[in-house]
Amino acid sequence: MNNELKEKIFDLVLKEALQESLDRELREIDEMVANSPPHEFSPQFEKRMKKLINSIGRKDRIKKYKRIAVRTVVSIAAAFGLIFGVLLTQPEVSAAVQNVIRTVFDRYDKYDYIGEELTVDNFNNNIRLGYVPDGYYLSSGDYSHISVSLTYVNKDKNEIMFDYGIADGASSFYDNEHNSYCNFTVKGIEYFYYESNDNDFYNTLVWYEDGYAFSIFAHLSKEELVKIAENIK
Amino acid sequence: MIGFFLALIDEPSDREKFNELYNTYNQLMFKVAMSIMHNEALAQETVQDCLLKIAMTIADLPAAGTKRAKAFIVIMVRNKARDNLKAEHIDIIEPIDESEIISNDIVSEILSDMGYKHIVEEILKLDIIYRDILSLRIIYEYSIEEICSLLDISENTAKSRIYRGRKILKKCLEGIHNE
Repeated sequence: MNNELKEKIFDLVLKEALQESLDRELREIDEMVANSPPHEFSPQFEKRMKKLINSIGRKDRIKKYKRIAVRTVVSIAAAFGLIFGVLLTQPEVSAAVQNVIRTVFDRYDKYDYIGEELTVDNFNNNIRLGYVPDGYYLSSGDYSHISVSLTYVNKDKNEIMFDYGIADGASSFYDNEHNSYCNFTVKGIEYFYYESNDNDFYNTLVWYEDGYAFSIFAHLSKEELVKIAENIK
Repeated sequence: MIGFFLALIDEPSDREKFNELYNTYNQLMFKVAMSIMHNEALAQETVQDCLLKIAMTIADLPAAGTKRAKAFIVIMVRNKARDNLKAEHIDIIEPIDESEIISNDIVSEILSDMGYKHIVEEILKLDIIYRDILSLRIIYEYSIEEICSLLDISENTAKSRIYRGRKILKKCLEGIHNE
């Protein structure tokens, strides 16, 4: 029997044996879980999970968009750009262009952004909140080449979460089951506001500005969130 | 020049999928992490690290409720727990000898009932770093690249662990045959 055949036989049996040992392990783990009391995750952990759930898919979609856009956009963009550039000289047309398209689904709202072209090279990862209520300070930040996520806290461990990223081609999702929604314009900026009717969910303010998609999550009033939004620097 | 964009495909299923994985396995993940770390805060941090990894690769993951998903989650958590403990394990990067010969004795041993039972027991005694990577490679047929991404290890480390795991099992079979 040649060695190649022996290796194949060994692999086949090894696969069965690995499966059986894994099944046995998983049964033991199931018993361990069933025989121990459930763990209560900390409120901070649960909040981070909610934030993670809200952001799922956004970064990958932005990357996917970039790949597709590079492959297909050149010739088509040239033609459209020329026509659109001429049209934009007309004030009526420029006013009609929307940067944010909101689509309502059963349990969430989806936002698709169209924006001025920001790239990784001119993305500013130093945008901060210029105003926060007394007692809050910047406690942590997550940075990527296309988005930033900052957390401000106070001594009572209340949080303000401030996210922003390159808007063009991005999508984001916000729960609409546990919130009341309204939108309004302040100083030329259109804001989308979600007021929570469940203590487990934050109030959320979403807006587009200068090529960035912004959002703030906190247990603060609408007026306070708008004040924060107006003072980012 | 006006930026031209293509609307991205709406994938609410990723978010729902993560929700289901989280709700189904969060206790399992914590208990597995605790069994290795014996510290609640560290175990919770390990679970958080794994959930972040899951969120980033959600589209490629099996759906909640499948055996594959449970195995995947257990393997990911315990490997991450080990990493977070910074266990003093140094991978010996062995040269992989593709010409290594399997003896006929090992083949006849592995095909016997007793030999098969022995190999199952020996697999359970293997260090989890070998056992888990062999499971990912041989049962679930993940590529080396996918394994490296899931377990945050280099290609050399992945190949070395697979090779060494198989070698240990073959030596055990030789040992059994010679008894």
